[in-house]
Amino acid sequence: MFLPVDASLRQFARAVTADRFAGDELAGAVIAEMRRQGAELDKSDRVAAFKGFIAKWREVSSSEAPTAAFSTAELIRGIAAPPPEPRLALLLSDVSGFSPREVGEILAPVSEPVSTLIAQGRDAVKSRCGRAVIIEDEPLIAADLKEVLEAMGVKVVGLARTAEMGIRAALAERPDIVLADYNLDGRKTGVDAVVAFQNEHQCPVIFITGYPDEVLKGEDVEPDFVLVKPYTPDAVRAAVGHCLDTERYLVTE
Amino acid sequence: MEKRVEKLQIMAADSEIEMIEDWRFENRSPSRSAAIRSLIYLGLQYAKERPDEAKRLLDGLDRV
Repeated sequence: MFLPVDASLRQFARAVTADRFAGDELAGAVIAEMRRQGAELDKSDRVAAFKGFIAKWREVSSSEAPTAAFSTAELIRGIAAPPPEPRLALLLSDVSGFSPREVGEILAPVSEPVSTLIAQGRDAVKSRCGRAVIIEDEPLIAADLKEVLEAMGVKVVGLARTAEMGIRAALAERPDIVLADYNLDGRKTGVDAVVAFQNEHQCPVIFITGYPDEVLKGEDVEPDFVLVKPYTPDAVRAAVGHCLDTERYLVTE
Repeated sequence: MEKRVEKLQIMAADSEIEMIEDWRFENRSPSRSAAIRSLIYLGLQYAKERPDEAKRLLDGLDRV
């Protein structure tokens, strides 16, 4: 099952920036730049849309032409340059779910075979230090996530079954990353938990859901970073490793 | 009681923040938020009173 193209691009941009707000701003700005130059996003072809998006993002980021303050190009350059090829290949493959052939098409021309780039990307995230809280009401999935995280060196400092327990664990442990099920059993979702602790403790949050089209609707409470069930250990490693590498955007007063 | 204000988040480059801060000090604005509110007010007034000029400025912004 695939998300609509614009939701897919937002998910990808959030993944790259490890930040919901910055990712959405980046996705919106790059699409606006494409449109301004007469290149509409091809919503019927996911590969073509990502190819156009990344090409435009690379073009704006690498251009040496001066940009005006408060222009769209200035915003794009300020948020982030596209990561190197192996990291892009990893995120496209393991987080956005493209096949190696599609990754090759999106990034073409590539400097090395796509399988090599993906392998390099995976190798770069396979071990990380960090502390994580998992908010998941299904014990088997929680145990599975814990195993994947601990095998890569990330210590799981809290396992919460409910939103309330998740809030308490995040505030007490102040983890580097949170993995949360979107649809917790009960009245509150993983998003409620995250909204409740994020004023006190900012860290990347990876949501795991079987229903991405229900949670990436472009509304105010969209979750930040979404992994789709059934997820693979590669997807979890890619998401966690990348989030722990990525510098957060701090809110300044 | 119903909330009547919201926190508004924006992204701005360091150089853009500096421009806002310079404006804030020149105009003795009490806070960054107050300065941004004043600048939004000025922008909205300008767009209302001189719509053609405002549109020309905005169109030119992304065409450097």
